[in-house]
Amino acid sequence: MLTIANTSFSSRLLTGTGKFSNAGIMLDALASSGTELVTLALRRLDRRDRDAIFEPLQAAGYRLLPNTSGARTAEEAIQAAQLTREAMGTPWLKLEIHPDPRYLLPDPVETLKAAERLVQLGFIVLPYVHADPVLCKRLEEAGCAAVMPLAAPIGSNQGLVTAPFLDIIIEQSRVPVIVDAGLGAPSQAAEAMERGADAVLVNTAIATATDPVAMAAAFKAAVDAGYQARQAGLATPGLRAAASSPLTAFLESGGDTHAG
Amino acid sequence: MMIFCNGEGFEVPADATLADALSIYLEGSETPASRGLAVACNGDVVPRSLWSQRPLTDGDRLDLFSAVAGG
Repeated sequence: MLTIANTSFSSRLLTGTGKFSNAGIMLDALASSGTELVTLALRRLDRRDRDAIFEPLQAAGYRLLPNTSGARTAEEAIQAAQLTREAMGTPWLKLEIHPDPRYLLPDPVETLKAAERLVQLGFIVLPYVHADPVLCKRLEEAGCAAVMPLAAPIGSNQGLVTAPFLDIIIEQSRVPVIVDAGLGAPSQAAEAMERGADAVLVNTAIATATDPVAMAAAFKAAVDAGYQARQAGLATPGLRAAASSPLTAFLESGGDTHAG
Repeated sequence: MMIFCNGEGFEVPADATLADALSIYLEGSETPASRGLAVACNGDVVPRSLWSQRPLTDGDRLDLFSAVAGG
């Protein structure tokens, strides 16, 4: 079981709700992914928007993880957090502060500043950060419930670009490590889990697939496989061959042995 | 009196509460609860439990936010 802030989850796949072509497909894909924790955003109300997703998500029993996307500073993120807690009735928060729209890379200084304050204000803070082991440790010390280092820029589908640094974060962290952003294929999610991530968050790769429901199932299988492999103990890579068959020279009588 | 919701001005009765103003503004729309709505009055977040008690004054500025899809 994955445990974040004393809450247990049997699924290690978190999913975003953005970029789906409609709410119906989104709900079907979430069901297919087996996810229990889904992200949402907050925006100024558009009275004409009838595709409300809050109630269906709540009715389906998902735990909600509102984000602070759109915030460019700690101050803006704190204000957004107070609005999301009020709007969605949860203190859980994916803290994300990315001032630059081109790469959407998170601002580490503002994120740490906001995290310290939000923890004091009683929020369950899951910060979206670069794969910086020092920053992740500082956020853990500040009281964050998990850390969410990126694999690659949001929506880029580049996979585990930050792998060596994710390894360090995973080794050091005493809070769950959720690899977020940039995972474009189930194989990449499986690898993140094999490397020891506690969970992954996927949105774009599922939402923009030709068949989002099938892709959600593929990510579910990949996350399960990667986690099982990690638990089972992965074999160590080596330069030389190591025979899998017995070294028995059955073609020769008493001669040299050859591996096969 | 005149109240502003997300920058849009509209008339409400002089004794209207914040809850009254919302129901006027959202008339024909879904209920606030179903949308995951948060309201700030002149910049301060007003908890849902206080919406029906909160009096308004002419020119008050309400900012309305709702849950939307996101990653």
